[in-house]
Amino acid sequence: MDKTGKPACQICEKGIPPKGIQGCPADAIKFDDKDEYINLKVGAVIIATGFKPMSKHYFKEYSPHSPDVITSMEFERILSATGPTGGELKRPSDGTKPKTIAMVSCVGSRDERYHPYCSKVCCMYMLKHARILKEKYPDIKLYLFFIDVRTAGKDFEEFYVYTRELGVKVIKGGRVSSVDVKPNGKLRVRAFDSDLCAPVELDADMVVLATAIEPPDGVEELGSMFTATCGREGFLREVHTKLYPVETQARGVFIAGCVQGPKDIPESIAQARAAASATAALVIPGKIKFEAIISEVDRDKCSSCGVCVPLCPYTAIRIVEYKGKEKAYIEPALCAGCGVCASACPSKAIKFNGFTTEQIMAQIDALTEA
Amino acid sequence: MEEGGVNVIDLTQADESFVKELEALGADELRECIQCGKCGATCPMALAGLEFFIKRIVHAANLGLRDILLEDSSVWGCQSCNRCVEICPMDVKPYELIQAIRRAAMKVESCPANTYEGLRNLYRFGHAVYPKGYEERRKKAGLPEKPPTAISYDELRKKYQEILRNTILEEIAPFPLD
Amino acid sequence: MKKIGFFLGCNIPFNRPDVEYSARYLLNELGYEIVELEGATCCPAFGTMPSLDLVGWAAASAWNLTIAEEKGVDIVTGCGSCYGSLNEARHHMEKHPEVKEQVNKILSKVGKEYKGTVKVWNFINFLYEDVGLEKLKSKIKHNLNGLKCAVQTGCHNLWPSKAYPTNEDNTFFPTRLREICEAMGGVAPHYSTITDCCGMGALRSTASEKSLNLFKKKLDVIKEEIDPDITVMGCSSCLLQFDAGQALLVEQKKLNYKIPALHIVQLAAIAMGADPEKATVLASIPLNGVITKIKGGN
Ligand SMILES: Cc1cc2nc3c(=O)[nH]c(=O)nc-3n(C[C@H](O)[C@H](O)[C@H](O)COP(=O)(O)OP(=O)(O)OC[C@H]3O[C@@H](n4cnc5c(N)ncnc54)[C@H](O)[C@@H]3O)c2cc1C
Ligand code: SF4
Ligand code: SF4
Ligand code: SF4
Ligand code: SF4
Ligand code: SF4
Ligand code: SF4
Repeated sequence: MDKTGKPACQICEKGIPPKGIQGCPADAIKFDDKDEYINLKVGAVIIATGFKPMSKHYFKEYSPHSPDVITSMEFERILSATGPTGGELKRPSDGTKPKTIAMVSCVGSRDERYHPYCSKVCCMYMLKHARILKEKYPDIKLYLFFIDVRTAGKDFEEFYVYTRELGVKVIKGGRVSSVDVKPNGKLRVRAFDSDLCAPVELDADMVVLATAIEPPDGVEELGSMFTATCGREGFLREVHTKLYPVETQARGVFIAGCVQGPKDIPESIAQARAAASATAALVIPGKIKFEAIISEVDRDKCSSCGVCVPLCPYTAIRIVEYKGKEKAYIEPALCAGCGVCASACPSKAIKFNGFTTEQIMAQIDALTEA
Repeated sequence: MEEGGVNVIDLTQADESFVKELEALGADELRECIQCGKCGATCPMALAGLEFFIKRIVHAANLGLRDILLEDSSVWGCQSCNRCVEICPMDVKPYELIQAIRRAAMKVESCPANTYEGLRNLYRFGHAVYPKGYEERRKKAGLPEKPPTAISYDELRKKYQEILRNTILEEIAPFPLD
Repeated sequence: MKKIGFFLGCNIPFNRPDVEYSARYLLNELGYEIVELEGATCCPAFGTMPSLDLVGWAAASAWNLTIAEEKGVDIVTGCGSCYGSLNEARHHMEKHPEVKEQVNKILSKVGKEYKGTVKVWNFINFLYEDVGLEKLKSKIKHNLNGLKCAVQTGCHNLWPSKAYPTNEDNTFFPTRLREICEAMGGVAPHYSTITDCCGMGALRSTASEKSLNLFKKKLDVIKEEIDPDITVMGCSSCLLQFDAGQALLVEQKKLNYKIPALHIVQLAAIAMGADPEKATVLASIPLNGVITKIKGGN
């Protein structure tokens, strides 16, 4: 309700009495539940808040005002036995079973106006949807419109070929150009077909848009609570793609799954297990090793100006009481040894171990002597 | 393509300097195209069945196929409808490429004859479209024989011509600008 | 009295002056003082200066824009290409100050300067926003009486949307012209090829037969999906295709039906009491039934 600004439909609570539909029969939902704040003290955190599928409303050329133009996520629910139609294939506008369905790839992905990246999973789940449908309803006509079919990975190309063998029609080289509503309720889809070297058009009963995988709402704020940062595309950033794929720049904060970037379930699980192992390695020994190259405050020199506190990218500096006065203190477990505070301190009270003034001067001397 | 010729396009004839020329003539986002095809079924040239239409033209331009693009008249069939610009997900601004190719073609006088006719009319009368018998049509509609445009004001038309003489038309026009 | 500069272009004054007549009638009825843009020229058309270079295009457009600027009025035009060419030139100059600078250098030779203060309307947006549907309704003398209209907004009136000061909420599902027809008492349903190009313009001059076939495809869909009494244009080039182009298809025996075509300013002028004869004198497809239907209303 808060998000959409519209009142909640409350079907799960009250059902739809005129249609004889009850609210949740298992009484599984606590409707009077309230938000609660629970304070936990933990040694490490794994952020795995996933993704958000893009809404269809951005794509005005695809007639988003039509109820029969839906996203793949919505389609996934229609196909699900626990979904709104009990797994029965029905189109939203009139509840009839669609005879022809068009699926559209790369909606909002590979698109400079929204997301330049490839969402990685949609080619495969489009094929999955097609396969499920075709196995259940052999007469259904399915047209899958791709720019190109991306099936990199174990068993994926085989899956693609099998789906083609089921009679699913694949159109390539044609990100769909337009979807228009006809007065009889059909949706006219137009695309270019590179293999036919011609524009093609199709009257479909339903159009399914494989909308992009987006970073979830509020991920930036969430990340900054843990001093984890987001990359250019808004997903949480790992320290190193190959060497530290689940670590963030904040020690003890790990990431896994789509919050780090688009990926499928096997990859999400592999990452989740990697993050779990990394967490265990950090927490189980009961003690942690500090880096030698970190900064330290000489609290007798510190003038309590506070300049260093907001500068630290890792929120390692706090003001704490020392000899009855407020002084800066650097938490060694958090300090990443960037040196920012040491160079900023007007009282020269911060010592950057390994790079003290004396050490740097000695290096300069050695260099200039030679 | 030559009549009866072999249907193979020779990529070695590709000329990278043509890509650069087009970029300089306004198609500065040309290389961003990923050939997604979205423009290919919305461009009126494609729907009408012209040999070259925007998706193909962008690709040929990126390959630097100068001769093919300058010889084919398809770019002159572009409607300037800008639908390709509106929908291109990579902001290639395909229509600006069409303009760039036309600009390159004009420089080597490789354009349909009616292009010059339009330019000549524009210069002489201030109107690219200047069909015969309009006075009669205007009378039928109860209007004065001439509209209050440059055609009715010699002095103003001369000023307009002076403006045109200070543009690239001066270099390109194959007719006298006097 | 509100003033407005009426930009004629080429096709309207020379090929379809009945549209000019209607626009003048309409603006008068709506209480606007028409300011003549003396010395105005071609917008210029896309196949001319825009195909030579950007500065030449912008300079030729700026000549027209400055005429309005000097008179302190905004511009309205009934031609989609004029709307496109003038607005795109304006947009390019706004985005690239160096182009504007070069243009002004050229204009200074004839003692002119382009400032960038003028707004260019098409009739659809002008009627929809500047006049407003309520005021339009209040001026109607002959209600359209349920006349079924298939509207043709026209490509140039929609795209490139970034160059336009105002536009449809969804340019791929335009409704403004439909709403205008309905405000006057007509019925204007959506049809699936509503944003398809009519084929008039460069395509018509480069590949005439292909252009007419493209148009026929659109017209066939209109006929099949909504079978209207009339087609209503937001652009004078579209009008040439829907009227004379359609007549040509009939003559070539490629079409076995006829749907009358009017520019929105013609339809609105007739609804506001203009002499239908004068307002449509150059139409190739006969309009009789349509006028009778309108006159039957009140
Ligand atoms: C239409 C569709 C079909 C797909 N089909 C397949 C398929 O067949 N096979 C496959 O391998 N992959 C498929 N995928 C991809 C798959 O969905 C993802 O790989 C997977 O969901 C990623 O898992 P995750 O745990 O990272 O994120 P998610 O599944 O998004 O889970 C994140 C969870 O975190 C919760 N959360 C978010 N914010 C907070 C917070 N602040 N506090 C607490 N909890 C929070 C969310 O509610 C959610 O439950 C499909 C994707 C789509 C869009
Ligand atoms: S996975 Fe396929 S459908 Fe999804 S963005 Fe990538 S190419 Fe497009
Ligand atoms: S096998 Fe290699 S080259 Fe071929 S499609 Fe897969 S990833 Fe690309
Ligand atoms: S900047 Fe230096 S003096 Fe100021 S609070 Fe930090 S340590 Fe103390
Ligand atoms: S060295 Fe860097 S990480 Fe360590 S306390 Fe100073 S600013 Fe923070
Ligand atoms: S829509 Fe843009 S990116 Fe796609 S093929 Fe056309 S020009 Fe290239
Ligand atoms: S502007 Fe030209 S290239 Fe672009 S869609 Fe229209 S006709 Fe095709």
